[in-house]
Amino acid sequence: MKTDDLINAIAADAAAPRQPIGWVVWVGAGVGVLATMLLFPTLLSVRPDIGAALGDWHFLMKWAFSITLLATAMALIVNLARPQRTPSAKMLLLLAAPAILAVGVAAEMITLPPSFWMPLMVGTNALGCILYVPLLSGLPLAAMIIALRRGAPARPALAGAVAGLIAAGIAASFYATHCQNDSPLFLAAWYLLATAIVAGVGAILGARLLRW
Amino acid sequence: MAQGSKEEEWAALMRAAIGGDSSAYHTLLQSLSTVLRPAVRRGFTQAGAPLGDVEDVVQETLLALHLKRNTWDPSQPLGPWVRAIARHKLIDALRRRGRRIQIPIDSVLDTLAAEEDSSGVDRQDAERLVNGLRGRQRDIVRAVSIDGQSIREVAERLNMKEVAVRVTLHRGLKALGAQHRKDPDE
Repeated sequence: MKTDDLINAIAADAAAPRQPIGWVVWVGAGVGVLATMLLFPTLLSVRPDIGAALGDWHFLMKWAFSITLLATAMALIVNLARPQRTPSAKMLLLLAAPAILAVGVAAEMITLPPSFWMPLMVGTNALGCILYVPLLSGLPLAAMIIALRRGAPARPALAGAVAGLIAAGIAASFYATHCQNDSPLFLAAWYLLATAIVAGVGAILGARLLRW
Repeated sequence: MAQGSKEEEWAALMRAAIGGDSSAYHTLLQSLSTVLRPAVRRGFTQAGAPLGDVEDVVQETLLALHLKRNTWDPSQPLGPWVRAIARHKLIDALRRRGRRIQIPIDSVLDTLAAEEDSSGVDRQDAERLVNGLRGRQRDIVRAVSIDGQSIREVAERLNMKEVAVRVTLHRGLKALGAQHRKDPDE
């Protein structure tokens, strides 16, 4: 086929509908939140003392972490879905969630004697966290990958990893209402590990499924 | 200065194209292909790759910018976005051909709008693209492209609804875009 012929064919397809990628990734995230909202109660229950927990900064720190993670990853994903490279400086936005966590960890370590640190970090159900956060991330990650397939990411693995951060942010926000371990030390150990696992899966999926 | 007005012209044409204006789209794609061709050729030259596949990369770039036109932000100029797609397709093509990318491809494609290709010798066939299509997709893509028929004419000739022709054409172009990823030599 000659290039001029190809141009004829492409021009004839001008009217094919195409949703702007910025809109598509928001729909993907919305579907991910809805799917997790529906799945969560079938697997886990909200902790009985949620009312009291909502007044405790330790609990709120979990949401501050997961929602910041979600918000910063969403802020980057539209850029990452485009063919132009995203400046590295912009990627530093992703440090916001760990920075908040670091403040919480510091506060915990200042206010509590060292003998408390280890038991709080180990917690009572670390396995639950590193199983359920990735599990609950499954549907939002799938939704984000499907959305990103409409994009043209300059770095597919990176886009997939940040999709994983979005999924982990959604999953951890829900899981936080079940999980009884509220110490930032627990968060820093296990939520972070669970998040890294999901981001890793996202990177692998991205490298395979987001090439264009 | 000339570059700026060209950018504005391209962006205006692309906005019209996204609104469904085929003739604006045709003008834009012609204009882009004449600047893409020498840029891609320079990329091949710098990588020391044979120039036989230049037209393939031009075509892959045109297809990709069509299939991914929803990733262009209409408030931004079109050139940098086209350049990013061309760069992606160029690197992809060189990798598929087993080349290590050591050259600063960015600098090669930086001058996308700076020079126009006036020689006709590069307008050679790039047969690889269309060979993978089958059945109706192949018929319709061929009819619209090589035979230059309109959607309406194709619909009448094949006794199909226009919308069905449009859908098949779009799927055909998508299949063309996906084709190079399935190459056995990958």
